[in-house]
Amino acid sequence: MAKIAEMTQLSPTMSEGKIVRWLKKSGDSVSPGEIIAEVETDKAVMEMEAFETGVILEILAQEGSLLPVGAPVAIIGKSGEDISALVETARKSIPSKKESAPSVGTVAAPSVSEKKAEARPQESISPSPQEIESEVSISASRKESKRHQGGLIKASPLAKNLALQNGIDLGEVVGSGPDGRILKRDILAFQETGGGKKGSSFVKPQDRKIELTGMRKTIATRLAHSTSTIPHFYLTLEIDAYPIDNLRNSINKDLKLEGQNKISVNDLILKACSLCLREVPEVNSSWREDHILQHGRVDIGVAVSIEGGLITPYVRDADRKSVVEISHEIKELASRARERKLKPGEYTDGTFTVSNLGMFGISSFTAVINEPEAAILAVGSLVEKAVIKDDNLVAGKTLTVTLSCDHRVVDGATGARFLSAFREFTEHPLRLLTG
Amino acid sequence: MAVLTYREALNRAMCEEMDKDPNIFLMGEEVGHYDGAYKVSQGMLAKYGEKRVIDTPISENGFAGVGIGAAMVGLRPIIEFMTWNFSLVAIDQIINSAAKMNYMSAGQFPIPIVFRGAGGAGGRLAAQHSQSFESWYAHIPGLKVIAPYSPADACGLLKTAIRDNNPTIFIESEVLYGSRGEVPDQEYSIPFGKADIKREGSHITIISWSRALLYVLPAAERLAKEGISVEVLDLRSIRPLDEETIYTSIRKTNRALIVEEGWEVAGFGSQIAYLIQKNSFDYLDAPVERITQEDVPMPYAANLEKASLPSEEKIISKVREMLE
Repeated sequence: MAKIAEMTQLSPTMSEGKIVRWLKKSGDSVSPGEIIAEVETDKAVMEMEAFETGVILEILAQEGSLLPVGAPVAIIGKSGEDISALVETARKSIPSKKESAPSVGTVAAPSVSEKKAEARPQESISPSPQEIESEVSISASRKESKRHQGGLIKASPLAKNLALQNGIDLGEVVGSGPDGRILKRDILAFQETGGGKKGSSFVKPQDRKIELTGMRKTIATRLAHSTSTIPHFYLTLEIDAYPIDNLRNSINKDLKLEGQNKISVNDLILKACSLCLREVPEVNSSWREDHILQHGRVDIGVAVSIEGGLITPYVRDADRKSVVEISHEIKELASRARERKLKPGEYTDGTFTVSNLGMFGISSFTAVINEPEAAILAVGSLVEKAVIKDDNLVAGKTLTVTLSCDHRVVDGATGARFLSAFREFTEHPLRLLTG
Repeated sequence: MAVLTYREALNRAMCEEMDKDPNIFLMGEEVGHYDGAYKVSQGMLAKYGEKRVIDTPISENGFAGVGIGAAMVGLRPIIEFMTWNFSLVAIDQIINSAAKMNYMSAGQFPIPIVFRGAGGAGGRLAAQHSQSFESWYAHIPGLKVIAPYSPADACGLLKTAIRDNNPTIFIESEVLYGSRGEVPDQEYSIPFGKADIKREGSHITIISWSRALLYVLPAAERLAKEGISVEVLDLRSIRPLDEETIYTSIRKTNRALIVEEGWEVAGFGSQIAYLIQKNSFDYLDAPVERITQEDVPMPYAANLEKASLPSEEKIISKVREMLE
């Protein structure tokens, strides 16, 4: 008896998935646990398994289609079975919508005015596929003439190319070729008469429409929600970075750590945060509407920038791990994040996050709180500057961190206690190796 | 440089190669005692004897097969078809044995054979004896197809064909045998896959080969008087094809016209047109055009034969139209 395979819920937050790639095709045998497709969820690309034994009789969801959890994606059964009725049922239940609303957070349905905008007919002059192909812009204000009927401007490939290279709008050029086709000579004549940008090789940059990935939608939804609902406030602290920098250098040198194994200042900062959170547990908490949940565990996320967005894998129980362990774990998580190989359990459900833009030379910045956490630490770069030490002006090395706090959970003084502990740990960093 | 006729140039190529290599022999109808139906093998029987210049009965399928067998055991045959129209009787030998033997024997049996003879229309020879076979044979992987226009090319390319270890389809033009041209005195050969730029120009590229150049070159001359500068390419070698020279020329002129003696449908020009639009699309300022023989069997009447073939007038009016 054939069965319908459905879009599986692959992560706790997933409400819909996009079929990225089918790994099996019609006619392939499958057994439970076998991977049949790759599915893009709100943050990652995951593998969808079969739950039945049999043959894929029909693929119902094409690659690229976005479907809610539970929607039929394929029919699995015995070879040769009549599945016409099943296909009928399945097809009826597939939502016809190509894209549905983002799934994470509380997002209202599009308002009436938005719906209207969606239904607006296309502009009366739409470029032909060829024109889009050659990316030649056509001004919408152009008057219709004989040669623009059906939106097509006749031009030879060479003329289109020259127009593109010289930033010439083909709609302004008069064609002298057969049927009014624009030829190379027309483009040259147009330039002669001062049209376009004569002789310049400037290419007019075109607007590009970039489709939203699941990850981009998730980032948009969650961060908009965070900034619009959480009362953020910011505490900035500049620390003397010599001790932590020296410690990092001597650890790397003494342990003969090289290349991938070297520890970074960020690893030490993460360790410092884990100890601060133990010392100031109010910051290691979440707002729960009718109560505040103070977490017993210390799970710290590291914001990793990846192609097309960012993701925050968590180092679990960071307070109970050594700096070297933390360092290894971050490297491993970051590399899998870049390959889109993280499991949902690895990038959800943390208690605090660190975001470091030091490697980009950013001296200080503020970060948006990663809900449902109560705070996030934004770390800048090591800066060499003149500082006053014992009444003397000396060459110093400083590091600026900014703690963004959820005022519903963390008050100014609490945040300040966290940062003063942070200064203690980082300016006397041997405690990071013993704590 | 000596001035030779096309037939003398072919004769010279065969003799130069046969003098050097005793494994080369010539076989076909009338090649010996009659000196060749078109007098290409003049004097060769006297020079090389009956073992190396062999007259055959009218049996294309038979002697083409004998030639392929001889090539399999190490000889280097030159098989003359009185005209390429008669190769139809031997086409199974050519396509199924000569072209594929090396491939199907995993390289154990290369077939170093040359099939040569007169192709195209000859003047009132009518429907069954006036056909162009370049595209027929160019369609088959394993065959090289050569179609020279000038005496110098005929000599240099035939030498390359005889030396080549693959079967070569060497299509001479019936109407060119008496044409004259300068041929270098010293020994030389011309590699396959190199087109010859017959005339430099900047407004349009005409791609052609063999007899069709008889119309293209004077047409280009006349167009030049009108101020239209035509670049003329003689492919010489149909397969392998010198694509680079074609594209380089089109990058300069932005227009291509292909002139061939054969029919339009599935003619070799359609392959060239496809390659041009695929690889020079962004350089085209006009659609690629072709001039071919009319889509009818060759008429017997002289005036109709003329009307059915490409001509100077057809080329000139097509070029003017393309430069509109």
